[in-house]
Amino acid sequence: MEKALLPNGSPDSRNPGARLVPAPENSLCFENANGLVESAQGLLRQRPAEVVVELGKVELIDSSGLRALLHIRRACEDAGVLFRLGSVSQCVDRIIAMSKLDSVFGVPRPHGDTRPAKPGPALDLQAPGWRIHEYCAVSDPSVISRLRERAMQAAIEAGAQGDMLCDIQVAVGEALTNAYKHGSPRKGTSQIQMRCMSCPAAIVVEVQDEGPVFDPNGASIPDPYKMRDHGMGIYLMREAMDLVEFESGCPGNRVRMVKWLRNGD
Amino acid sequence: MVARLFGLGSIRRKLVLAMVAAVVPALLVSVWHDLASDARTSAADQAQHRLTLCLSLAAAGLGLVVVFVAGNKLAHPIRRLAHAADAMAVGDYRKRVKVVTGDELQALAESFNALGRSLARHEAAARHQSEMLAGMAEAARMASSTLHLNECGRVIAKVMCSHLGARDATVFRSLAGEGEVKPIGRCGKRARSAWRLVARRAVESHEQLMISERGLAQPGAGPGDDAILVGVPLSSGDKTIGAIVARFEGVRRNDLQPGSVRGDLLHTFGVHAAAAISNAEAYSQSEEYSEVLGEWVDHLSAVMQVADAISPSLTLDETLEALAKATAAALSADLCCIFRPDREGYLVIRACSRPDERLVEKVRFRPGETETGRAFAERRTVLCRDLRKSKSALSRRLVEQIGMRAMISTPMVVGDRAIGAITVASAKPRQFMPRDIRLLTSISLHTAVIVRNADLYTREWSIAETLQSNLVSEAPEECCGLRFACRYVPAWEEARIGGDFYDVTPLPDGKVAVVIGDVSGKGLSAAIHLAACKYMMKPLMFAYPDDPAAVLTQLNRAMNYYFNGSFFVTVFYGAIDSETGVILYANAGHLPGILISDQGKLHSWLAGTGGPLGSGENWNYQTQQVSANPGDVLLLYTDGVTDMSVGDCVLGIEGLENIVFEAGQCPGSELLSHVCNRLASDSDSVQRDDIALLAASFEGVRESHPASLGGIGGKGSVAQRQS
Repeated sequence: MEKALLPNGSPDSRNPGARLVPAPENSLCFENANGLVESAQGLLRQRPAEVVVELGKVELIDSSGLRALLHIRRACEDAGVLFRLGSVSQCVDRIIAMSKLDSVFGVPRPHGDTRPAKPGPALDLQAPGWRIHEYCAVSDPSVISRLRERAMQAAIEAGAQGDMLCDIQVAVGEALTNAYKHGSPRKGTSQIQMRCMSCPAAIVVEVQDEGPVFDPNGASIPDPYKMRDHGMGIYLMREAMDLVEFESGCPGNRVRMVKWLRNGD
Repeated sequence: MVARLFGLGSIRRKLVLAMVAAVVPALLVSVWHDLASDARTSAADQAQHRLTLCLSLAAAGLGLVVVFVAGNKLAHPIRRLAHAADAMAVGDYRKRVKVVTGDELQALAESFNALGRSLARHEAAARHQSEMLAGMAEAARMASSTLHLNECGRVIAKVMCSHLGARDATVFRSLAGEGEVKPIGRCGKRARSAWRLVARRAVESHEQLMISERGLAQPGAGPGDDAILVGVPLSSGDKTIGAIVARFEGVRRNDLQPGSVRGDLLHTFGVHAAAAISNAEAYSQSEEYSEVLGEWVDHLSAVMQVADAISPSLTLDETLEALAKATAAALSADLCCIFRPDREGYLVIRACSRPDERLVEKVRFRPGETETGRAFAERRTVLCRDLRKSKSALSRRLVEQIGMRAMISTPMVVGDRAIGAITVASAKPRQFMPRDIRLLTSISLHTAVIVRNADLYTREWSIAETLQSNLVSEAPEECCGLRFACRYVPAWEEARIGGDFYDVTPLPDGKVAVVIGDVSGKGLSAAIHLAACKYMMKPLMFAYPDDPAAVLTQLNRAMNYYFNGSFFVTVFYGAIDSETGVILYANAGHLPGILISDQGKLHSWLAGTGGPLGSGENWNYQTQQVSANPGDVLLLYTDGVTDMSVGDCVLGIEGLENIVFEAGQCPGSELLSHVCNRLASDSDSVQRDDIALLAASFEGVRESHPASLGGIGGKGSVAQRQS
């Protein structure tokens, strides 16, 4: 999973002074973001002229991944080394734009619509006809990517494609990361439950944890110059999904995220 | 002082002084006259004068004597009167004074004597009255302290005679609502019928009445003795509860009239007597109640003792033995046996208070033989005070062998059929009391119900058990590349067969069908419905090997059609391809199956989209798909697991999940052992229902491709597939 694309610190063919930081395949998320920061720091010790983070094969990035990129960028600035993102996949591009970091990383704004869709019709989750997948997992970092994959399968099954899959994946990833980080008082034994429901009109993903009550309104727009430890995840969830609801004391916390399936997509 | 010197009384003294006062001046005048004439007159004259003087002196002396005698005569009766008056003053009214002077003194003395007589009479009356009062108080006390009604009546009648001067007396108590009276106690002669009349009239009028016996023209009453009958009402509060009729002889009517001393006393005594009778009645009633109550309490406590001996967790044989022991104890008997007919119709001992093999062998007889046989055959209680005198030769023989002398046997009857008999026996001759008979009848009635229910239950249970054990057969350990493990844990406390089942069936195309279900209800009907469900499902599995939803939809239709909603069943049905690890499943209202993957850290819930089968609704079940990797385990279970209570809480799916997460990644058989051990080890946990568990382990399956997981996307309902 964390197989490097290129050997660490291999020179960029276009720019001999540049060193490529190998990003993991598939995703740059909570579980492997720290590894990227560490390899970038190792590279910086070699005093390259430029550090390039290649994200062409990264299909998904989450708030932890974004924070890792911001970390590396600041480290480069401190060391007086140029920082640049290499090729960026469509989904990562979308997420960077969504998080208002496109100017920071110098990525062109993607063509697709990053704004959330308009609110759809009221949902009746009790009505028949929902296709439901339910999961129950122990709070373990390895489980988060598994659950995210299951949510993706459910979304694909329900007919989601392209940007929509990207949005759902990042939002579910954020919800699961939050459930693990903040909603599992007993790491390794607390349970995280996920429910994916789909009907022709919408995909609904619910994540429930055993955490204490929290205030989801503390989240704010991420500021690249203020490295916040949290808050960006909820912001991303709200940006990526059409409707995000938090519920506390059920017991634990439950977040319900809705994505409307638009005709023609 | 002179008068005292002469011993004169005051009257005499005054008379003498008056005499002296009258004579002395006359003497002095005559003496002065003599002295004056002496100087002027002759000697003759003087001599004449001296004679006159002497005569005067003599006359004066004579006068004094006369006055003394007369005074004495006058003073004597007065002194006697004074003595008598003194005696009267200290309460002696018997003194009389006899004065025959014919003058005022005599009149005075007579008046005095009349006064004395009158006082004496009044004193006697007062004494009599106080004596009667004291007697009556004593009588009232006696009557009040007597708590038996008839005894109380007797005391009242006796007091009437002894203290109130009646010759005969009878106390009548009025009977409720009839205006009739009955005697409750008498003294002297037996009451005549007319007395009853007097009593009734006294009761009706609430007033004391008095009738001369002659007026009643009693045949027994002679012309001479005009006795008086007095009816004294017994007034208690505002009602009259009876009357005393007393017969007085030699007493004047006036002395018995209301207003006279005795009349008023009679009235007052009536009130006291009524209170005493009321008390006695209240007491005897309460005593009666307490006696009846005590008997009931005895009876109930004995029955309860017997009932307590029966614990619901015992088997029928244990229950009957406990019953026999408790019954023997309750009747203080030496032996209690419960008889039931065997297959050949002989009555044999089914349970005995004294487990004794020899006894059970020896005692065996036909209905009608011996007392027990008669009790059974004639469906009535049979007693025998001494078995040595029994009419039955078999009984007499058994006396020697068993050593029992007296017995009582009651049949156990259900409806109009005897299903056995209970015999209680005593080693010594004994007369069983009505109380014993009542108690034994109660016990035998209850025992009959217990035995009957147990018979029915045992029959049903054995059928249901046979059915279920055939229906819930062991799953094969290995089938089509999957390893299976299963557990069936009946809820013994419930003691009725539940409707849980599981099934593993190889399908023609190399897949394997896995089913777990729970039929509503318990017992025989659940087992029959289970069979119907299971065997209707089999051909459908073969008809739709790729579509579990179609199987459940068709089964639901069939069950709605045939059983018309009389029961329902929740089913999880999965068709597993062990080659690819793909599980196609549909769930009809059953708890979600749990697919344990990722080193036991991730559980996928295979839940359903429709309700139970046979509930009358045409559900649209959907076939869903998940993929399993090697090492994954599919765990199926029934609600007996999640409904288990742990302490105050119900285990629930979350509780089960916790237990399964604890087990981590392990083969199905180990997982089931872990779950069952955990459920059994918790001392707080109570199993309310049967538990069925089935685990399928994916061991030899190929690693599935993640891409294949989403391959079924967009697959719709069964209806869409069929169209």
